[in-house]
Amino acid sequence: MITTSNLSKTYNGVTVLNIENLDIPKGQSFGLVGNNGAGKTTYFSLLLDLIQPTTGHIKNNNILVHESEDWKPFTSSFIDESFLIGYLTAEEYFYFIGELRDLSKADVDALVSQFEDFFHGEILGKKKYLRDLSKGNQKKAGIVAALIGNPEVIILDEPFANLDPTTQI
Amino acid sequence: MIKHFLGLEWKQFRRASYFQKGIAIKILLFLAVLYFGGIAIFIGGIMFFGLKKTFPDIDPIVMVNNYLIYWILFELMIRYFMQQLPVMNIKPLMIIPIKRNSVIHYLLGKTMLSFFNFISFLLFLPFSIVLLFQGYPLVSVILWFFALMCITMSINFLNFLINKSNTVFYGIAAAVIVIVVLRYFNIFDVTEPIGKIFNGLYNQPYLAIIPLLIMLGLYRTNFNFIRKGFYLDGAISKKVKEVNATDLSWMDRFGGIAPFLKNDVKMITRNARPKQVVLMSFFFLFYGLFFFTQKVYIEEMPYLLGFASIFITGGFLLSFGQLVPSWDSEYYKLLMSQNIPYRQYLESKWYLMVFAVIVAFTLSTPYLYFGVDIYLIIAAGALFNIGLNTFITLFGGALNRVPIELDTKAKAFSNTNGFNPTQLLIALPKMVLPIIIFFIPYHFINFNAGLLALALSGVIGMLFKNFFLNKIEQVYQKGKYKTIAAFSEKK
Repeated sequence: MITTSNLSKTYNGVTVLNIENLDIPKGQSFGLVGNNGAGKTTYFSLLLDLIQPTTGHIKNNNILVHESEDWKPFTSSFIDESFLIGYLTAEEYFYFIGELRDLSKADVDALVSQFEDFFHGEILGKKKYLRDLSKGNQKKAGIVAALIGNPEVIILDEPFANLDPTTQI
Repeated sequence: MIKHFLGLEWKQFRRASYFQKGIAIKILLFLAVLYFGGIAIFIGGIMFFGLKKTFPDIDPIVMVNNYLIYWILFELMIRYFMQQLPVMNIKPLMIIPIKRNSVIHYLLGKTMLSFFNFISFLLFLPFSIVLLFQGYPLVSVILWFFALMCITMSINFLNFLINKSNTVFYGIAAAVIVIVVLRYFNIFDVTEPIGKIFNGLYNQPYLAIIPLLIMLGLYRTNFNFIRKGFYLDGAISKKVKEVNATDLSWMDRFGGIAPFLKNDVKMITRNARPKQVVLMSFFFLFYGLFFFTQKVYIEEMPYLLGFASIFITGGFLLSFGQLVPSWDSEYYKLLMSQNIPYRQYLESKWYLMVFAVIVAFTLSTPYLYFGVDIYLIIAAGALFNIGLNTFITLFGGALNRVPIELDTKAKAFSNTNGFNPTQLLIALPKMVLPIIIFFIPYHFINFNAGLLALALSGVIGMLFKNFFLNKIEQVYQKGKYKTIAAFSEKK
């Protein structure tokens, strides 16, 4: 599903990422681990076409990520808080993502209500903007938002950081 | 202690990522400061002679004292919009052995060096020196000047209280309105008793101690205010206000651009900086009052009328549109990784600006007072704004890569992206084009032809909307990675 070939990224002569070959088949829960500074977030940014590769390419479902945008409809992600719109409430944010993925409000409500336990009553119906939630709650909102629309590829960067132990599934 | 703070400030200044790119901008800003300072000195210097010429039997210092209240109110207004309590990142300082009082004194002391205080200083110092040369009593003049400086500093500190505390703001606003209304209906002219107070200040110079005490009092009030809020949940973290989620589902009729329109409306209403921009663009409506009341513009420089009409309906367009897409810089990565056709994103911004022009145009109906001709010029200008200016502005924005913090008010002169050479180049057609389009037919044929040309240019622009938007989208796509990288930088 996701094929990486000869991928490398260099900043000012310093190579921060170098992956010769990496294949992630469909249907797999793929955990990427590495030391701090190994290049995990860089890899995700390349996968989402947020930065340009120095060499090589990534193919998402046979679509060259940095040349076409056709991978966007079935890919969703949550990397850091810059993926949240701070001045929206959690519900508004979910509805916004839902609209982008052609889901009605009812569909979004149905999906999000499955996570009431996960949210511990801290996120839904709170009348708080996302920017006023705690870091961990913001993360929870972002993770659930990434699940909206039944995407085929979901990219999460350190999703368990800042979450309370009881919610680490 | 101050040495430490200054050292930190200098490092912050030098290491800001935009320092390397913005050295030209800093120089321009510096020149602007010199320019305004120079004007202040110049006015201060000739004020005495000018007043003596226009009002030969009234002592110039009495004139100045009489109208000082207007200067104070004017300063308050400008400072309210543009001056900011300098923010220091005090979180890391809270847990190391630095006295809180030192930090607060430093913060407040820094504000005394504000540009606004210098303007007052540069304005009144030459005036006072001229007074001394003209033979006015030494002690009186010196103490009067000292009192004025205390008053300026008092305004400085009062402004922060107005900004921070809603009660103070409404109190002052109400007082101002009452004063203006009383004056307008000739019931009571507040300048008389206030003028007497200031003249009394001059005539009995030992009274200068009063402004000094007022200033110290306001300083203390600010100090206590900050001191009380010097906790993480006080001044530093924003107030968590309860949200009333607005239901904007009526916007869904607009189709694909609806999600973006809804977000933009929420962005404007829920964040300090866009609110500030909208407020300022409201004031652009009054631009015409400046141009149309002076016969000299209408008769001798009619081409400037085209120029003026752009500003009247184009306030929002210019101030908001100039910063698209920076408004979304905080979550730009989200927009880039989602299934969002850039075309739709641009279109939603376009509709927003068009809507603002239409609203401004309806609000400009009172300009009919100046005659149908003027009103038609404004109408033609509005059409130009909708049909051409929107695209020029969006195009300029595509080349602009400065991130914006949505919930912090912009400081004066911090809008440095406006001084970027590319931006200036884009700004040129925005200003010059309407003048040319209006003036050439006006000069060779007649006034109505000029109107027609301006209006037609807007209509033609609208017909080419898709073409323009496509071109702009291409620019965005080409610069996509640079923009993402620029927006990710934290200030």
